[in-house]
Amino acid sequence: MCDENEMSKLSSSNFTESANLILDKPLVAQRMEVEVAAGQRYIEVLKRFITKPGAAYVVLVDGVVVDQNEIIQPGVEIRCVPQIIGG
Amino acid sequence: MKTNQGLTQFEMRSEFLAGNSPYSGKVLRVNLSTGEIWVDEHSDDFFRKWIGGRGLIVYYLLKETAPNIDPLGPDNLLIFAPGILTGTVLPGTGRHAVGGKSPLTGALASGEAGGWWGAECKQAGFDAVVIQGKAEKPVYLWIKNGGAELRDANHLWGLKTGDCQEEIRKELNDEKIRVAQIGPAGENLVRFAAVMHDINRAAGRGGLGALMGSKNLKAVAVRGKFKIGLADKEIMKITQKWITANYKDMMGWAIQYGTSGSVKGNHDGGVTGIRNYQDGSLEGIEKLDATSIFTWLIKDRDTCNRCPVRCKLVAEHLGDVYIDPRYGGPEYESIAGLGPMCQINDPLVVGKANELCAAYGLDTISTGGTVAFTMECVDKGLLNGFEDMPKFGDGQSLLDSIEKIAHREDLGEWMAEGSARMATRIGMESDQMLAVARGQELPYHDPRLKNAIGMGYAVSATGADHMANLNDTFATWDGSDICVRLRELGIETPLKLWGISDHKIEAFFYETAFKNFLDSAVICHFYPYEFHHMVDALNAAGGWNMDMHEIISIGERIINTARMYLLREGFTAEDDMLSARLFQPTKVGPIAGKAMTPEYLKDALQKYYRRMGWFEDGFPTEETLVRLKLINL
Repeated sequence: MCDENEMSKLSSSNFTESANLILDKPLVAQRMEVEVAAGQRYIEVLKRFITKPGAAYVVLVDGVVVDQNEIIQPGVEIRCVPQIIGG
Repeated sequence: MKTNQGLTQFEMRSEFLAGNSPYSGKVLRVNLSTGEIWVDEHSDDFFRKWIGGRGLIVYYLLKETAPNIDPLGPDNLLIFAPGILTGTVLPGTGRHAVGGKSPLTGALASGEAGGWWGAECKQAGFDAVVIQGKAEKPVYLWIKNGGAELRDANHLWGLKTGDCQEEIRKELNDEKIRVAQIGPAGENLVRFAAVMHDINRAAGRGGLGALMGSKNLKAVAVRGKFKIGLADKEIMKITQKWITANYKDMMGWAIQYGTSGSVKGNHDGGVTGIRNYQDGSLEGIEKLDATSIFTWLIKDRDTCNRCPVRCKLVAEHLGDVYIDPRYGGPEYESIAGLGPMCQINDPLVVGKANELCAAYGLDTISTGGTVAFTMECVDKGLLNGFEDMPKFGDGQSLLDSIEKIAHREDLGEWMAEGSARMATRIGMESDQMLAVARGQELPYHDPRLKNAIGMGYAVSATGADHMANLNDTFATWDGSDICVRLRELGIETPLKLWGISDHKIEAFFYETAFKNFLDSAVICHFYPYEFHHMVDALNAAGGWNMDMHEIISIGERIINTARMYLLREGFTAEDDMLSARLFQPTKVGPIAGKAMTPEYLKDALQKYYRRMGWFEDGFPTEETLVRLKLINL
């Protein structure tokens, strides 16, 4: 989980262009909605928030699946869904 | 053939009896045509080379069956194969494999099941059971403490799985007997009938239940007292301690909800096929997710031998729609196949459909796929003249279809053959609506999102198989167990999501080798074991000095043996392909507009063939066969 200092570094007040990141259980302990700076790779931002070992996730940007190596564009809504295989 | 003649007893070797070996060295052989029962003795070298499970299955099939036999004829083999680690103290080893020539695909059928049967079989003194021939009348095989006997099963024929297990336990006066069996679907030779274990664990894929039914074999009941030992217990403790310390963190998802916890996430992420792979989303999907069904449908949790995770669900519902808790609860694949695939979001319908599949002995993946294909045919007006045909979104018509399939009644006679044969029968370009690979219905991991898994579906000797495969979305996230394993081999991670790059083919090569090894050992894929853990576990089991390269070679050997079996049965590189629907993108939803082309897939397969040491036509080169010690097989 990201601590408060980390959160403030990522918050929109430090950047002119930002995107909206929404994470919910079970990825994180409590639902969180935070603005993050555009121009970074999705994976760089998400790794700071999601630290559960052994798990995998798919990133959705405005409801569409994207590669985590792509660059965050201003104004988008980012969500992340956990992956499980088998059963 | 005489039945109920008493157990034919076999002597166990001293190392096994002393608890210093995980295998007895004995494979039980049964000829149902003659009633003969004997054992094959195998050496330490055999187990080091083939490990057990899928490895043993492909060895016997290639070695002992003639080319192009009828999968439902007496010459096919039905093989129950625990692995070298099954029944040991290592968590995640409560599994075994079942195999034979597939009645659905004509290729390899090899399915793995959890529960208790595999460990009990080894405790009864046998590393595997290989069954040939056909009994004149229904029988079941009773295995106990180094002995075996064929018993009359006339009174069991026609029973649902729950009732059959109760009858066998009552007849043999032991509530702890573990039963592998077929339900009415297997008796009626439904081509996607499953072999059920503990009544709710399926070796589901490829129609192994039909193969068992074709032999007039209703069940294999086992009970044993031998302890499954290890050559070096101290080495095993290293891996045991690691998993004990880490499983709660690393497998939290399984502890919390089991695979049902992924229903909404997989749907939102474009993983799940919806309405026969036509749509991008299903309204009301949240009703099927664990966060919903756990509050009112899930009564309890169950587990497998030596597993502290307890990911198995137990569903119960009282009232007009009764769901019998004996049959467990729906896992992700079952929910996806019997829910979104058929445009159904009612958890009561899905729970009941899952129960019916377990009671009749049906593979939930192919049942969902076949019914959904039928629903689309009805939707498009390609089917007429049957009573009450299934319709998208109509839960009762799904439940009715399952009954009809199991009994081969009305349209169920067509559906019981699987969707690919149905398409051939219907014609009218209905094959454009198929979601199959090698004639087997797809699991619910969409290859339009997961391109490598699509390549795995296409090339696998077992047809569409999501387990012995590389899961793109796991290889894309750096913290996943797959990425940890790949880094152990020096492969840079994470991989890019879209496409099948050379980098991804390298990862696919190693991961499928590892998964084929796991299915031979036989170990639960949910456990986040890395190569070095498996090296330690195998060396502890056999007293060997393996390294991770030997584990990779074992996996390669099994894939190559399965490939040779496939080619011998007449399949060619042209058959390494997905069906038409899987190249058609959805118009909306999380993966709208995304799909490989057949040409792109063929190109990726050529790269994979080269990496495997195969020719352009998909045949292994002599050099590959020599390297893997397969030249004299």
